[in-house]
Amino acid sequence: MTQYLTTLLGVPIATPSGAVVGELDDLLADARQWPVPRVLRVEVRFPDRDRGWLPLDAVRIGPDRVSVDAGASRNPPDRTHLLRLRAQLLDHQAIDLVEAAVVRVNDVVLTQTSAGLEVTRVDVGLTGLARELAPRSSRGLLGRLTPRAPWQHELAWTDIDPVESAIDHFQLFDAHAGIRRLAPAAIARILPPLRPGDRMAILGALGGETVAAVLVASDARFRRLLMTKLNQ
Amino acid sequence: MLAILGPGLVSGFADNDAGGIATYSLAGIQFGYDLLWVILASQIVLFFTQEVGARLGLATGQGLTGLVRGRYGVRWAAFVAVLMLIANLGTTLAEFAGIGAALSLFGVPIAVSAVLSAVAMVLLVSRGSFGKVQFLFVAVGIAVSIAYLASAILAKPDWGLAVTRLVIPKLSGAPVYWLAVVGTVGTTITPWGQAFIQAYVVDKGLGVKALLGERIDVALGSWLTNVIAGFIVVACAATLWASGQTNITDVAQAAKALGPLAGSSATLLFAGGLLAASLLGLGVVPLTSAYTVCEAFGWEAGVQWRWRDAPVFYGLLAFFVGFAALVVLIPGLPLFQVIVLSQVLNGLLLPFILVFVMLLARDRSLMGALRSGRLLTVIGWAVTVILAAMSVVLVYVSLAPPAS
Repeated sequence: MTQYLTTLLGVPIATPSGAVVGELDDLLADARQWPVPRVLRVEVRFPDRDRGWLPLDAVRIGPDRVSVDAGASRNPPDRTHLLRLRAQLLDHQAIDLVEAAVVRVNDVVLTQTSAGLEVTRVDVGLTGLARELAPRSSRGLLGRLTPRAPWQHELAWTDIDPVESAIDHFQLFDAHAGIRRLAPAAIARILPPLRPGDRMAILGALGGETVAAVLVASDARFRRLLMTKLNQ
Repeated sequence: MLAILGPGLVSGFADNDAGGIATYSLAGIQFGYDLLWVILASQIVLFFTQEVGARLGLATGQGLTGLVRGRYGVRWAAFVAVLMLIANLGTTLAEFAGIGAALSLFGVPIAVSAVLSAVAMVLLVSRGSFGKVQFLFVAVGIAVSIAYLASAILAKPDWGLAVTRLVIPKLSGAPVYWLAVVGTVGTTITPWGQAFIQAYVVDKGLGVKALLGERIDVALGSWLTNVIAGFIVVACAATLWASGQTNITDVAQAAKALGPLAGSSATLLFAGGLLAASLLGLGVVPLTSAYTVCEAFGWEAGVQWRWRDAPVFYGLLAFFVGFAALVVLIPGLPLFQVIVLSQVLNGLLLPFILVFVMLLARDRSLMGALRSGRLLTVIGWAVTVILAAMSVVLVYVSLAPPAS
C-alpha cells in the first residue's frame, strides 16, 4: 500500500473511544536503514501546540484518521539518526542522481512492506506540488487520482541524495555515495544551485582527483568561487 | 573588484524604468524642485534594502523564493511568487507602454514596437552570454544616465534652488503632495528589485568574500539611480513647471513639451532615455518573474543555462514577455493608468517581500557570518514599517475616489 506524506500531515490522531488527542505533524524515519529509511515514529502536535512522539507500531494509519492505543510521550526521542520527513525532506532541495539535477521535494512516497512503512520514493513533479498546495481536505482525493497523471515525476529513494543543510545533525547510511558515482561534468552541473555549505560537503565527499575534474568542468566564474572556498 | 560589480548597478539602473521616469517627470512637472529631498531619502532606503538582498544571495547562494520555501514551506513561497508575478506583469506592461510612448514620438505604431522589443529581449536573454547580457544592461543604464543628465543641462535649471531643495525639504499638507512622495519612493524601491539583486548575485556566482565589493556595487547603483531620478525632476521642473505647464499627465507629452523650451535635442534625449530605460526594465522584470517561479518550485533557473537545460525558466520568460506584449496591444488600453496601477501593485507587495527578507537575514543557520547585526536589523525593520505605512497610503489614495 502506498501513502503520500502530504495526505497524512494534519490528519487527526484519535483514541479507540474517538477522542482526538492531536494531529499528525511529522514522521520520523531511521536514516541509517539500507537501502531505504523505515518510519519508526509519529510526531503528534497537541492542541496546546506542544509535541509528542508515538512508536509506529502503536498507531494504525487510516485514510483520514490515525488511531492510537497508547498515550504519546512528550519526551523527544534521540534524533541522532532520525530523519524528520516533513521538517528535513519536504520542500528542501535534493539531488536527482539520474538526471544530475537539483530538485525540490514536493512529496514523500511511503510504502507499507513486510518490514514496515518505508520511504521508497520522493515526488518532484507537479502532482506532488498540487497535493502540497491543495487544502488538506482534498489532498486524499488528489493522492488517489494523481498517481495516474502523465506529468507525475517520482524518483526512487536510491536515486536521490538529500542535501546536507537540511539534515546536518546526522549522517545518512552512506552520505553522497550516489554522487560519487556521477561523472565530474554532472557534479559540476549540480553544484551551482546548492547552498555554499552543501557544495563544500559534496566536494568533501569526493576524492582529490574528482574534485580537480569537477573544477575543470565548472563554469569559469563558478570555478573561481569554489577555489576560494576550498582554499579557506 | 570589477568582477563583482554588476548586480547593484543593473538593479539600480533598472529601477529607473518606464514607471520610474513617469513618476519622476510628474514630480518635477507638478512640484518643481520641492520633491528632490525625497530622491535623496529614497537613495538611503534603497541602499539598505538592496544591501540585505545582496547579502542574502552571497550567504545562501539561493534566490528569495527558494529560501522562503525551504524555511516557511511551499504555500508561503507560492504566495510570494504569485504576488510577485501579478506585480511584475503590471510592471512589464508599463515597460511596453514606455517603449510604445517613446517610439510613438517617431511615428512607430505600438504594435510594431511591442512585437520587436519582445522578440529582441527574449533572444538577447536566452542566447547572449551572462557577461554580454550584463554588459548590455550596464551600457543601457549609462546611456539613460547620460540622456537625462544632458536633458537637465539643456533645460538650464536653477541649480542653487535644486541643491537647496535636495537637502532642505519644502513640505506641504496637500494630499497630492504626499501621494507624489509615496509614489516616488514606491517606484524606486520595488519588490522585483529586491528579488532581482539576490538572484543576480547568485547567478553571478559571488560568495561571502565579495561582501565589501557588493556593498560598494549596491551603493554605486543606489547613488546613480537617484542621481538620474534627480536629473529627470530637474529637467521637468526647469522647463514645464517653470513655464506653468503643469497639466501634462504622461511622459510622452512631457518629452514633446520639452522641445520648445529646451530645444529639440532635449525631446530626443528624453524620449531616448525613456526608450532605453523601458528596454532595460523589460529585460530585468520578466527575468525576475522567471527566477521567482523556478526558485519556488525547484526548476533550474539562470541565464548561464541554455534553453535545453532550463526549458521552464526560458519558457516562463518568453510567456511573461509575450503575454504582456499581447495585453498592451488591446485597443484603447489606457497605458498611463497601466503604469500607475503597476506601481500601486508594487507598493502593495513590497512590505510582504521585505518582511520575509528581514526574517531570513536574521536566520543564523542560513546567513552564518553575514547574518544581520542588531543595527542593520533595526534599520531594516524601520525601513519595512515606513514603507508598509507608505504603501498603505499609496494604495488608499490611489483607489479612493477623489474628493469632490
